[in-house]
Amino acid sequence: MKKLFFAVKLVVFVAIFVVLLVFASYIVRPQSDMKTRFTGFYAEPKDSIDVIVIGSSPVAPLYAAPLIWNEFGITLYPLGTNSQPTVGIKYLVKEAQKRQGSSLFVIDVSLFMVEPQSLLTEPNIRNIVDNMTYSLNRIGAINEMVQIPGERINYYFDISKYHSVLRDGELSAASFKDFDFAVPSVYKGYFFVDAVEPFDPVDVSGITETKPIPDESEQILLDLMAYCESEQLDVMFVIAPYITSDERKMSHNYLQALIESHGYTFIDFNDKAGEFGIDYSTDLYNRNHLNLSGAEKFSMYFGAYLADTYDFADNRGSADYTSWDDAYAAWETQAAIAREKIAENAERLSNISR
Amino acid sequence: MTFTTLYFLVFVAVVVLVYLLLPQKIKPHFIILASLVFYFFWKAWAPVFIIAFALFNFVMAKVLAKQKSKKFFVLLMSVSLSVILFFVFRYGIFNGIIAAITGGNTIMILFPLGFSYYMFKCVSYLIDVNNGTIAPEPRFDYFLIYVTYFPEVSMGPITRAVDFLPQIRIKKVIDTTALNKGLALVAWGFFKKIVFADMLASMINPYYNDLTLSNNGFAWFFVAFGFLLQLYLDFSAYTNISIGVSKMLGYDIKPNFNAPFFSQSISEFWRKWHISLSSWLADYVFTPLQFLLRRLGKFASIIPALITFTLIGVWHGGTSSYLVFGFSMGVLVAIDAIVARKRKKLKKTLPKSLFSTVGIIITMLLNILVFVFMRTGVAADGFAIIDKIFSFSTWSLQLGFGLEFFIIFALSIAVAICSHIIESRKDKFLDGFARLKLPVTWLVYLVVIFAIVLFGYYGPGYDAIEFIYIGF
Repeated sequence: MKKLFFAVKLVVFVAIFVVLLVFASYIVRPQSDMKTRFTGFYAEPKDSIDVIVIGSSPVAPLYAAPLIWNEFGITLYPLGTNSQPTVGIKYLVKEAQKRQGSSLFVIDVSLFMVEPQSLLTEPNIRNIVDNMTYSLNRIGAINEMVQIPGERINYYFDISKYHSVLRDGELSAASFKDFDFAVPSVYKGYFFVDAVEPFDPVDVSGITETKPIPDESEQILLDLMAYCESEQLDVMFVIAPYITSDERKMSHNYLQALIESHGYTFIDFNDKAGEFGIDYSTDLYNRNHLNLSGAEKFSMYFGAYLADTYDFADNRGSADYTSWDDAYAAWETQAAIAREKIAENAERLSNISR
Repeated sequence: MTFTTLYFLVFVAVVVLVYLLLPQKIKPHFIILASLVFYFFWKAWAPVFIIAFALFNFVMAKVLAKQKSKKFFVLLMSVSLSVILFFVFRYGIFNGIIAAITGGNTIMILFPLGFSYYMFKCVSYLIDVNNGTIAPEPRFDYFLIYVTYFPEVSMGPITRAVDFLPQIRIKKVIDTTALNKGLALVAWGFFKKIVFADMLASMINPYYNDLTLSNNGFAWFFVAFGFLLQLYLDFSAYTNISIGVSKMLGYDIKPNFNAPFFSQSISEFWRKWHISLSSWLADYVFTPLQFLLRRLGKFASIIPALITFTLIGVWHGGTSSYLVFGFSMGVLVAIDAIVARKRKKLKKTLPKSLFSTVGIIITMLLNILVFVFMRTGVAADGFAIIDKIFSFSTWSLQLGFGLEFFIIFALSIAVAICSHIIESRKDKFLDGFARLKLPVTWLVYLVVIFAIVLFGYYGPGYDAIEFIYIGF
């Protein structure tokens, strides 16, 4: 009896400690647009998102979720992290599945063209795992991405990395605001960019040859597709528009053949740039990313594609989805400012080039 | 497996839980297994070495007990062998021999972790058996526990066989009070080490690594003081953890510190600092030497003090600075002995509080200066720092430290004072803690644990700082 009482006390104490440790860990995590995006994702009601986009840095400034909601009644959430390690995508899909099981998954495969090892830097890994809630998926992602087993413990317990914020006085009110993953993202994961960098249009439509992607990337992609197949997930693979090249187009073609051979849809949005009306002089902020101007054109195009291709219920007007209306209102206010800024920037650049 | 790692915590948690659930008969053997596993984590060959060393001393104790004549000779041979082995490892003589044989190709044979501590254990055991203070342990497995006991093996305390061996035979039951006290000591140890000792180290290490970093004597005084604080917080933290884990396993280990910075003389300081080592040397070196030289009057205390403390220095390491450290302490203790009568007279004439305050301050200042040599590794560096401190013309309030340094420094002093109060109250503090209501106990634990988690010096971006005494 004494042993049992002791055991019960021990378990209760450990449970209290673990709960407090988890909250403390969430509080000391650094603030970033990625943290806000992930926190917002977890805050969305279960099974309320129609489309989840997973991918690297082009994703968040490209998929204007509030606009797509307002125009097409589709709820879309971009789960983008900078230089997202490809091997981590499966775990993001798994994590997203837990809350939004019946969604369509749109996976940006742009980074499958690079060696996966080159993406496995500490910041890139932490962008994913240190924005996830503690779960087996998180542990799986860490085990997969952190190559040296002895280093994994610092990722499992990310408080070991960030605990100094308290001593350094870097803790802010925002840290306490979203520690319970209950604060929705104001723009539903969208990230505003109002910078402009003009480029010459690129035409790679004539390129039909293929160039293999790195072997390890291919294995990761095959594994990802096998997982999606085993889970019978609705998935499409895409490549976001950017300033591509002939050589890269060949890799796009290789990816297309590989993905389509497994029965999945693949869209290289570089091929559709003309259709959604990208203006290379104003719609990009660097060679790999579109700004708001490009995002609006792309989102209108992609929203229409989704509405035409899939049968999502239109929940506009429903009381359960008012947060999306609020997001659009906030987004539109910010977008108006960003549009003006883009126009200014474009004009300034045009004057300079003259 | 360093004490202040998560691995050690998991190891201890598993060992304690399994140990408590095991039948009484198996418990001692489980302790051996745990200790050998702990030692294995340091180096795979280490368990073989420690078993062989324990076996040698176990056998020699039996031989000594049976020996009718030439007992002293057998004792001398046995002890000498241990001491020679100690010096051979300490000064890397094996590596030199191998290099000479192989023509320069050498394999690095490391000094076995904690050898200096368990060598002392074994030597005192042999002497005690020889003197008849203790009967030789009939069971090798029990003696092996004494030598390999994992909470002590890496840095002591140097518990005597007479205090430890009988405890193995005492039935160990789940004692929640002992568990609570043990856990409290472990948490307190972690708190001192990770939040303060390592933080202090990170602040003063740059100065010791680059003596040109400051020419301000006042700044160097703070750095030297910082090291003494760090050393106390570091070593007393280890001792707390060691004694705490032992309490959870049902073993009572004598304290290694007893409020040393409250000492009014260097002699008193050494009775309260690293007690298990200083009392060992007092019993097995100083007192026999004093007896041997009893006809030399005042020198009967002075010469043994110089020899004993020089030995302490040599025990710490084979560099000139340890020699200076030990010899200086010997000189200070000898001076203590010389002025003992005058001190007594002064004590009677001066107000008690004034006498004790002045005594504490002078003792502290002397320790600050002498312990510099323990940190530098090279005597010349130690003298250079002392020279800087005594160059009063360089003293300036522009110390070059950030605000954080002073906050950590002040808090470290506060924690060291708390630690001294706890030590000076002996078991009363722990008894009081164990009587607290459960929610209060849990609250205290949570506050301490989260202070460690949130303010500790650990994790990526922080260089792990080993316990200082693990190097000795």
